[in-house]
Amino acid sequence: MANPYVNQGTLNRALTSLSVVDIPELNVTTGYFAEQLAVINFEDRISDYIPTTAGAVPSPRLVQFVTVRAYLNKAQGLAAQWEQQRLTNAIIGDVVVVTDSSALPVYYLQNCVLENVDALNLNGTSADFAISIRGTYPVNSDLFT
Amino acid sequence: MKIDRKLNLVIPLEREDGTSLWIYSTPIRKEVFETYFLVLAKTFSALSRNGLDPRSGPTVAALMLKEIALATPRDLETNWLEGDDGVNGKTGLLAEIVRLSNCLVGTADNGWQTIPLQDALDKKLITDDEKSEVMNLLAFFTVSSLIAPKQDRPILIEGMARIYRLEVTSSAFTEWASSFKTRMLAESTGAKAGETPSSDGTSTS
Repeated sequence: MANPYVNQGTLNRALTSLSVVDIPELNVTTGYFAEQLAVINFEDRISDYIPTTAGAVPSPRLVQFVTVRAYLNKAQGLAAQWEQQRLTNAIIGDVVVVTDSSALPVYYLQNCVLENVDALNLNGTSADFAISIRGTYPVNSDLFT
Repeated sequence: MKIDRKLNLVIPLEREDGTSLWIYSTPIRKEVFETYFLVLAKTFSALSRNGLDPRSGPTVAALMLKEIALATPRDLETNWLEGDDGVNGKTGLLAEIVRLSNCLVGTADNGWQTIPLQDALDKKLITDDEKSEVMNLLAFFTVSSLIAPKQDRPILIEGMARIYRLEVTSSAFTEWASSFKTRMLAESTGAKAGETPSSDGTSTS
């Protein structure tokens, strides 16, 4: 029987960060997040599986679209920086997302846009300034070799 | 060279084991400068008063900044070093300088990888000694490019860059990284042809 007492590792929410490669003033580190930090949502599929009469044909995709929702602290100036970015240019270029697990690699997203800013709760009970960033995540790199 | 807020500093970290990484850092924003102007100005004065020029200043500037912040009262009870937004706090000036910095890392598996400087520190890709070296260089860059008299800024920044073999660039990170990778490729191709690239970017037979 396999040993069940293997090290389970730890999560560290202080590691979570978001870096806008060409606009570093938009970088978000631990001290600038609201409570929920960030969520990465992977859209669509990594591979298609096309039915045939006798089975299916695998068809891996080259990229996957990704939406990152980051919850900034609206009581800090960084939220205003992002608001300013919304007013001037939604195209923000490449973004690096570091997760709360040191075991996972960083997620390097290409050609990102600031897609939206969520509804702002103005009744003094929420620190959230939630932004959605959409970008491209290259997958199935073996297709090129 | 015109020294302004669009100028970025690139710090190479080259180790004896052959591994290397490059830290690309952008200057602090105007609002951040306006928050910490007093300690930044006093730090520049202290560096000048003690004769810490581009040869020695970049090795101690962050230490001087912290010492000045500790000695500068913010109100009756606190100083500029302590607290979350103090110079050494988690959203303070030094954290802001780290936040504005990226690393370009050459990896065996994934080629070139871009990560935030904070991530490189968290993952111990940069040793404590290297972190200290980097923070001192960045503190000197910050103070010299924002506080020094305008006519002295090129002398200080260019002097530091030449002595410590740094690169000063107005290119955005992606643009700089792209040209850097091309240069590295050219150097390694040259090396294969029987030449050894030297650290100042020239090739010798």
